[in-house]
Amino acid sequence: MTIPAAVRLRIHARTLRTGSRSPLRRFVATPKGLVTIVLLVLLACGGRVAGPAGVIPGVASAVLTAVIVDVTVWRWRRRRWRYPDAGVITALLVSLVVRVGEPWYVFVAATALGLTAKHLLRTGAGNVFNPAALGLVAVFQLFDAREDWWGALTAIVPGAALPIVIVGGAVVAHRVNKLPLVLAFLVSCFTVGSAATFVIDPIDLADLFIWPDLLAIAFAAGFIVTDPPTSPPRQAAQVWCGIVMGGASGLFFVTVGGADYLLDGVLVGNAVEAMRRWVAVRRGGNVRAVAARVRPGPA
Amino acid sequence: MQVRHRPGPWQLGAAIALLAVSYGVGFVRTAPARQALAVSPTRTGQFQDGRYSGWGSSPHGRIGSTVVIRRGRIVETSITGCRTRYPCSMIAALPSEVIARQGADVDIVSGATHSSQAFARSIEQALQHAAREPGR
Repeated sequence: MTIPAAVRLRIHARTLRTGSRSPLRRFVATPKGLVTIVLLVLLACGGRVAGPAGVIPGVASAVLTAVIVDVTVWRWRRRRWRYPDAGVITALLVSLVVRVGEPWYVFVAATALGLTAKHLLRTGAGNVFNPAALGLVAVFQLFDAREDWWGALTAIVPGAALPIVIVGGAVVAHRVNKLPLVLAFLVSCFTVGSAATFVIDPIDLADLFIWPDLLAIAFAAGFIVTDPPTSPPRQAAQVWCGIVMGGASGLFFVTVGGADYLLDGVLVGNAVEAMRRWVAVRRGGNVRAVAARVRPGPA
Repeated sequence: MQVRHRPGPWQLGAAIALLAVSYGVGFVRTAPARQALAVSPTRTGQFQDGRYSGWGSSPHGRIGSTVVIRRGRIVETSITGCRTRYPCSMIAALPSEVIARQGADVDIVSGATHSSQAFARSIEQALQHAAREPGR
């Protein structure tokens, strides 16, 4: 079989890019590797203040659960062993959102529920919901769990946290080609909040525009909204998806409040995106072409 | 056909400008509310009858409460707004302490320190209104 020249050239270029690097450098060069490193930096910054004794039980519980669930599913479905990179990212996101000091089973349940849903709730083009968002919303509702987005917020000095989260989130969004999605999400969320100040008492909306919610929004936009498997690859579709996610998040904040309004909005956007993909496939589109998994994603 | 995944410079600039406007409008519109929330607590004295509301802030969000005054005494207290990261069920027992102690001096609930303090501040603010203005 003859390999076309264009394909040969692409393989050669990829070999030149990654072939001479160590496995660690190659891992860091991938989007999942980059996200893992940035989340570990946030974890280290927060953990330095919160203390290892408070941090390690939750993180260890979440990561161990992710490894068990993902490795088991991969072994069962594909008959091979594989490093659960996406599962570990889900576990890190869970660890960064759930409050330090929550019981270990909250971390286990959030990770297990999210990853199980990732493997069970699927369209032909990939999983429907962001595993971290789904797991976190589930434990928030089931266990009355407390979520303070500590890695991004409370455990870091306020002045330093904003640049770290914004730069980290922007780098990740750029690397996975989700800048339009992130910007549309932010604009939509703040537009709903700003518009609502003309209708209801601004005192109920002040939190959306200040610390610590501001950083929670930046964290969600940079690390949760950008999940490639559950968001569209094309620019125009990203803008629409971002508008839905951000608009829904803003509406949840205005009407319900609470700690998980951002995650609720993300799940609404995931559902709409899954429906869009399902309709596209039903109309005769190629599953691969409509799949969001153009590049491997963070969670 | 090549599909563009990255926005061009002018698209990026327009989006950032739009973001600044959408955020700025909300930030400016809520500025008076933030200043009102930052009122420093004062000693509460004799209260006028009526129903009063207040908000207290913490690093994890805000808590709103309502106090009902009859014959100069606190007879009813409730948490009417919970905009914290944590569920307010953790501090559900605090309103009864306000009635028992006739003031905002409530215990700090273990594991909900910030929420307890935010609730206490919200009561202080409500009692400030009760002390200086007729009920509404």
